[in-house]
Amino acid sequence: MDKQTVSAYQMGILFFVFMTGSSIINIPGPLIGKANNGAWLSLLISGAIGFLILAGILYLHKRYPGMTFVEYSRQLMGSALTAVFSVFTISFLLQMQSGIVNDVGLFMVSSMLRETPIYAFNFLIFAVSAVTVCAGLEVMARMFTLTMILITGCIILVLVIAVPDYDPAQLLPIMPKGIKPVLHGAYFTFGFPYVEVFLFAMLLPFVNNRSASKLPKTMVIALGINIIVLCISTVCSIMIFGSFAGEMTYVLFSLARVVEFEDIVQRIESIIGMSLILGSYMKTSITLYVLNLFVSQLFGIAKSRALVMPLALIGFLMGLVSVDSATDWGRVVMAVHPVWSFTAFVLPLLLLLIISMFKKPSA
Amino acid sequence: MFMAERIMVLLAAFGGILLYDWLTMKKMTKREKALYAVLCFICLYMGLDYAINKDWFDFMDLMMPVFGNLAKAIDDYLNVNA
Repeated sequence: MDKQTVSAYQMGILFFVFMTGSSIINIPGPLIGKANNGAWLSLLISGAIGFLILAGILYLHKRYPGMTFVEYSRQLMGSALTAVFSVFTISFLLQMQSGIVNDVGLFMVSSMLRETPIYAFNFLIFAVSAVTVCAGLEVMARMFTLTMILITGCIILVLVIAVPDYDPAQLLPIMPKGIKPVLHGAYFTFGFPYVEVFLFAMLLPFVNNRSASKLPKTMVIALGINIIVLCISTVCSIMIFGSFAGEMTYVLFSLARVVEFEDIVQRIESIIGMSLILGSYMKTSITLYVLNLFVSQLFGIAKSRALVMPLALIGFLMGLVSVDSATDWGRVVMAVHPVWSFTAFVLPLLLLLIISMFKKPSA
Repeated sequence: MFMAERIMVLLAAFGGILLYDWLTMKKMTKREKALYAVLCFICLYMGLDYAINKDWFDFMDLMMPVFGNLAKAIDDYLNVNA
């Protein structure tokens, strides 16, 4: 396995960046469309499920230190069952990496650079992500700390400038149509982003021994901050646009368009565009790293960088041939992804947790 | 989009990865080469699909029959806005 290690703090940063990166731009609009004013409740419900998945992978990491999901899965279920479940896991990992970049491409084509073909954005992001993955996890952790500070600062700036325009009365009533819309929103946000916590089952062994004791607390805090940040951006969107927020795909982008400060700071939506690209690039890099590591370990390949480029190319081409339209893509993400990701991630994890409770780890 | 444009995109993508790997990758084992070839073959299939724009059987066509119906049923049950 790759010899690079990171500290628990850096792993927490990677985790936060991964969970928040593209979600903060893509989630609020469609979520409000499904759950209306109860959107923040949906995030709390799906966030709680995310905590459960995190607890599961931390438990398995504690029982099998230094081993990735593939390695302890082989030990617990055997190679054959691991291979069977891995078909779905790899399928969704490929879909994820293609989907993250496709989201950026569709955003840029619909909002900012309408005449530029989508492959221009997709190709560049995949190219840079692939080269970043080849540089290694330690490099990624160090670089993403700086870009995360930049993105967080930009988003906080936009939300703070919009304070005079917030109308808290728009937040009520919370559940005018009952609990079902809230559950619908939770179903959507479970599929994106909270089920993706699973990916860190492949990365936790890269934490160095010196800071390993701080890992569980760091990961829990990172996920907690992610939930709070997403709730705040969703609530702020509702306070500005009310129920119309649900009709906007990129509501934070629209919010940045309308806010102004003293007639000097106006039309700052390009900041959100930049944040989306950076966040999606970081998330794509981490996903590609995990996918490459997963496939390499599954096929017993020692040099884990050999497959990075072809896997990135598959992701690029999938984005070009699999997506028929933006509407179709939206339907797949909102309806199909939760079921697909449950089969790919949660089901094997649950199985391993049950087996591990009855089986002692071998020496 | 013209076919020539699509072919140029594919040449750039394939050429880029092959060039990068040729410059940076040292010796590969037989297993690595075999897996690399399989992945490149999958890329070639999708590349041809993209170039001639015939909507061949792709990844989503494989996965939607498996998950599509259940996903639609859950989504329809929870959707009160329709």
